[in-house]
Amino acid sequence: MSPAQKSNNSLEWISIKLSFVLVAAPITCIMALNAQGCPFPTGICRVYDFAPFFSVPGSYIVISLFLMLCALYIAERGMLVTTFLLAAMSCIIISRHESNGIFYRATVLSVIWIFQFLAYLFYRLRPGFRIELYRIQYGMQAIAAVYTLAGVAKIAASGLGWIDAGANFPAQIVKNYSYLYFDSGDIAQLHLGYTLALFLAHHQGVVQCFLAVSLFLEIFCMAAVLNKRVAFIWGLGLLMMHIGIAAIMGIGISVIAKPMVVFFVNPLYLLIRVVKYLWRRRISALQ
Amino acid sequence: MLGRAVQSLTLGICYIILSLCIGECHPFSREPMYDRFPAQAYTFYISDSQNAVLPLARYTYMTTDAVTHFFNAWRDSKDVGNDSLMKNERLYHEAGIAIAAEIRKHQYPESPLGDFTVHEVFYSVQGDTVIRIDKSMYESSAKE
Repeated sequence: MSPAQKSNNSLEWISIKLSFVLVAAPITCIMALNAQGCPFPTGICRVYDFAPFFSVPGSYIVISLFLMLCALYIAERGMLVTTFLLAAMSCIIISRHESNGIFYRATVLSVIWIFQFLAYLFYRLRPGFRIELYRIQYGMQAIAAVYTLAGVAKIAASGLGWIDAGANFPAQIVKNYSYLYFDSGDIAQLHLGYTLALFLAHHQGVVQCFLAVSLFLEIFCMAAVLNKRVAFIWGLGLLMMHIGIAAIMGIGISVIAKPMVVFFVNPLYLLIRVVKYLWRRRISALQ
Repeated sequence: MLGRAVQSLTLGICYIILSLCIGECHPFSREPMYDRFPAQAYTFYISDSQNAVLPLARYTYMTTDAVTHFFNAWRDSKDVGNDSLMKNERLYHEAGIAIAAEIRKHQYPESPLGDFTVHEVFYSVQGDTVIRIDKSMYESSAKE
């Protein structure tokens, strides 16, 4: 690898790290603050409930520690230990939050931290291990595996008939818009849900097409990881899917979409490259 | 070529297999969101004595989808399905009590909730009509 390529890789990696921390840190901190109880223990909380970590001073200490580790991660300091601690803290915080029975569907964040730790562990154990490649590729694998699991779950529960949801899909839409109504008291949200649901009940071909594309993108997501260009296009496809889901179903962009955009599309890196290109063109024009 | 592809995806494949075997135990999950579309979708809301909806966001830092998640976790902890829960009046009432307690736990101190009723609401779509069925679960007193 040439020094120029190495520098590019490093810039790409820094962009991913910065973006991923911006995505993962806020939601992890929110979960740490909202994890007071443990009525339905799951994950590591089945063994120990970590109650002192989520008391009033405890949660602030946990959050401070997590943010300090994020800073070390961005600065590429002690990565083996740093990623291990980030993975462990993420598992504890999300397990504890999910033990309240409330799901942010943030599993992917812990999986990404774990896979990045494994990349640095393999690098330590095998000197020839290409860390500059796998610290990114492992993150992509983590995300792709979660999407593939989501696709497999649909096939396992409903078979290919999942695509042919009929009038049952619009019922889900009404439910999601009723969430907005019952949260805000704004009856217009419920009426919008009714209108969308009845429209889609009469245009089931649109629903089938949308669900078929979504299922395809999820099931074959692992294959996209094999090639960076394919991953980029796949990432844009998945982003469109999430935007479509958010618009049609009246729910926010799900947690997994954000790290997916970071690892598959890496918009910050693209932006830096465009700015650098324009800057070089300007300099050469001035010369 | 296939062997090389599988080799470079080993970690992801291992995670998928482990998740399928272990199930819902963080950091493993089968990711079952929207894996089926039942004929009826259900959620919950609270109303005052005049049966007017009390917007959760005005009184609590809990959202309606969180209430639904809480109910699902409560039901799973009792190891009952939705249908059997509906048929068991005592257990259904208990679910209402648990939901009311969870909502009160999350209320803003500056806007306390008075008496309210927990409702479960079911939606289905048939032809040109959205069918809505309301079921009162539990009346919660402010003194609780």
